[in-house]
Amino acid sequence: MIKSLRVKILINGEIMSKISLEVNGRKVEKEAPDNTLLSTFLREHLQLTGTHIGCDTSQCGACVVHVDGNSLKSCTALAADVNGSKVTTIEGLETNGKMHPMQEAFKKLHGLQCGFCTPGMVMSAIDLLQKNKKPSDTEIRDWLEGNICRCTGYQNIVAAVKEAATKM
Amino acid sequence: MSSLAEGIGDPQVRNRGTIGGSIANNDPSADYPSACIALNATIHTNERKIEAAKFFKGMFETALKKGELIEAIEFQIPEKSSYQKHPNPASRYAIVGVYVAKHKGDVNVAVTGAKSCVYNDKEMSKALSGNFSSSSIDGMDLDSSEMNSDMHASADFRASLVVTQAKKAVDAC
Ligand SMILES: Cc1cc2nc3c(=O)[nH]c(=O)nc-3n(C[C@H](O)[C@H](O)[C@H](O)COP(=O)(O)OP(=O)(O)OC[C@H]3O[C@@H](n4cnc5c(N)ncnc54)[C@H](O)[C@@H]3O)c2cc1C
Ligand code: FES
Ligand code: FES
Repeated sequence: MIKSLRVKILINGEIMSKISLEVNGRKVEKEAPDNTLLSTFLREHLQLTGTHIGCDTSQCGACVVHVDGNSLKSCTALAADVNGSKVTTIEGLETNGKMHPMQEAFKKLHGLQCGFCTPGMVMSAIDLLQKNKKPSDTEIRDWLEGNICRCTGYQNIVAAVKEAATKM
Repeated sequence: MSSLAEGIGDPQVRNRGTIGGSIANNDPSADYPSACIALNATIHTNERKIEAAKFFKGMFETALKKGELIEAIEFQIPEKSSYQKHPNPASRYAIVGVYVAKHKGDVNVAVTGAKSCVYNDKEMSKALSGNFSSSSIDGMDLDSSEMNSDMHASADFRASLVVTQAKKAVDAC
């Protein structure tokens, strides 16, 4: 995962790293303490608050983003650890104001209620369809095992992923 | 081994976690330590080679010294083997997991989740080395005095799960 050498800077006794990423197609470069989680970096340093924090212990999946094309829980990764990578967050899915087919499907089939889990669900589900174009119900449920929803009961989420599979 | 790996956490957890990190952490309910014990693994570090039986020291404790890094893990290919676990439904960690491996001379029955550290169950190994059939361990009454007891499972339930999972593993071999 480590793509390039990190530049270490010491500010007020805290070890800082210069973090360079491509986030949603835009190059960003910022200094952040070494122990900054990718989720914190996205939300607090880049103000991309679409990536939600539900548990901060890699259980709930609300913080899933794509790093170099694979879904991961951004609270499991240090920002410095993915230095040099391409990151896609929920904010990066639309094209010219048009929702991504997965977002459309969640909207159409009521794959959400409060919406807290939704960014992570959508990011995970897109990664599933990248890897498996026509997943069965079981494969969808299996893949979304690490994405917890406290509202919907999952039925409509599974239906939305199946619908998106016909459009993607 | 591959089905063990597929049962760890969820896809996103698996996209990040490594086997080296898992065995260095030696969580009492982690899956990989049982594979190391069952398949007589040798842990290669930047300093030496350590046999699995001497690697896992206790709860979250290993033989690794400060700064020592795991570089490779070598497994002995068994004649037959299977790993079966009763997962915690939320995290998928093993409430109890049993890795049975039949080698030429003997059988290893590596148990995770049941005690403070992974271990090879000598009683079941002996029974299965004599007769490799789930009937030879059926109804075995394991001592539960050192088994974990928490909100997920009592020690007695764990003791019974060890036998059930071991039987399932033998049948799946
Ligand atoms: C939601 C969730 C569910 C999970 N479910 C399961 C499960 O079902 N079964 C299971 O077995 N595990 C499970 N895990 C644990 C997961 O497998 C481990 O967190 C992962 O394997 C750790 O690997 P890592 O590379 O991320 O190590 P890290 O977390 O980075 O490191 C762990 C420890 O090992 C040390 N370390 C790492 N690599 C090495 C090395 N090569 N040499 C020496 N020391 C090293 C680190 O310094 C640290 O102390 C789960 C985790 C989460 C978050
Ligand atoms: S906030 Fe990352 S998995 Fe819950
Ligand atoms: S929609 Fe509320 S948690 Fe999933």
